[in-house]
Amino acid sequence: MNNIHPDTVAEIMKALDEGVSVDALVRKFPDHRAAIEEVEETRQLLARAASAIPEPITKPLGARLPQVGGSVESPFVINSLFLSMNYKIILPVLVLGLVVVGGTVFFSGKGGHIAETPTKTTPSKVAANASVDDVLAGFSADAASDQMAYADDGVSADMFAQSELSGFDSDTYDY
Amino acid sequence: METPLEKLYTEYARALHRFAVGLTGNVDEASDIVQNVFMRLASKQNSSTTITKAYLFSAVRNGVKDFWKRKRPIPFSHMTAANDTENEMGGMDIPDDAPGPLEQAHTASEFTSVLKALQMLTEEQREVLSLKYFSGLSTREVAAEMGKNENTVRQMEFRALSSLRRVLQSKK
Repeated sequence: MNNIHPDTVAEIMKALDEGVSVDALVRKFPDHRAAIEEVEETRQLLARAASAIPEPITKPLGARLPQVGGSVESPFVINSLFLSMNYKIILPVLVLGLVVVGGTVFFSGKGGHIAETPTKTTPSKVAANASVDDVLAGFSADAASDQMAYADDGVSADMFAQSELSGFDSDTYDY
Repeated sequence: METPLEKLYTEYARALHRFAVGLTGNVDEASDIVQNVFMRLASKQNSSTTITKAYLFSAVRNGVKDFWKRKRPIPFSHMTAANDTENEMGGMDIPDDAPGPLEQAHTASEFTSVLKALQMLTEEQREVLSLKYFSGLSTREVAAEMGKNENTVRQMEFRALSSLRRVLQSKK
């Protein structure tokens, strides 16, 4: 490949640049068939590699360059964030910030739900809970007042209990 | 309205970035180098220096040199393949059924392989291929950038392509 005369090399490369086909070149330089094919293959390989180069992450230059002759827009921020393109640092920081903000919003919303649970209980449930307490309290108050009434009539607690039971029995059987 | 520097950026930033990618083998570093070039130009905007395309490529080239100074030097054993550009191809026993470079291009790592292989070439070879294939300059433009005549550039390009192919095949 490297034994080809420099003028021939220049001619081959020029022809390839001008879009001459490999077959046509091989017909012209049959002795250098392998070299021509290999060079063309490598050229295509480089062209494919070139198409795979990612575009640089840039913003319009105006947003990054300090305004000469005018007010410099926060050179620290520009230098550290945009001009030096330290996106390896900026990106994780931005992502972390978004996660923190998002998390705060999400959990504060969720915490609010927990805190509001009692107030969000339906009125019927509240009423039901209240009525159970009221009924129990009412029973106690009634029993106490009955016992007090019997005590005023000279009936002891045991007699009161017995009367309650007998009354229960008689009520049951009378019914 | 775009300033003259912004116009230069719009026109050449992409080609300069791709040139730096070829020279450094590192996309992120290439971005930083190009940004630094324009930053320095912005800070010197009032100076009398005429900014031309050649000036920009030269500035990127210098930025790349600084980059290499900061990096660990390449071991000599890794450089021998690149410096052996005058070795004959016939000395290598390549089986017929071996996948060629084009077939390798189908793999996801092909781009990385090419960039790594480029780093094994001599500085001049890397430069000529980067300018021609990555930055998209014509042979005449490459010759102007490198201060050589067109035929010399074509011969350099031919040798660089041969070397690149050898490096890629040796990596298989």
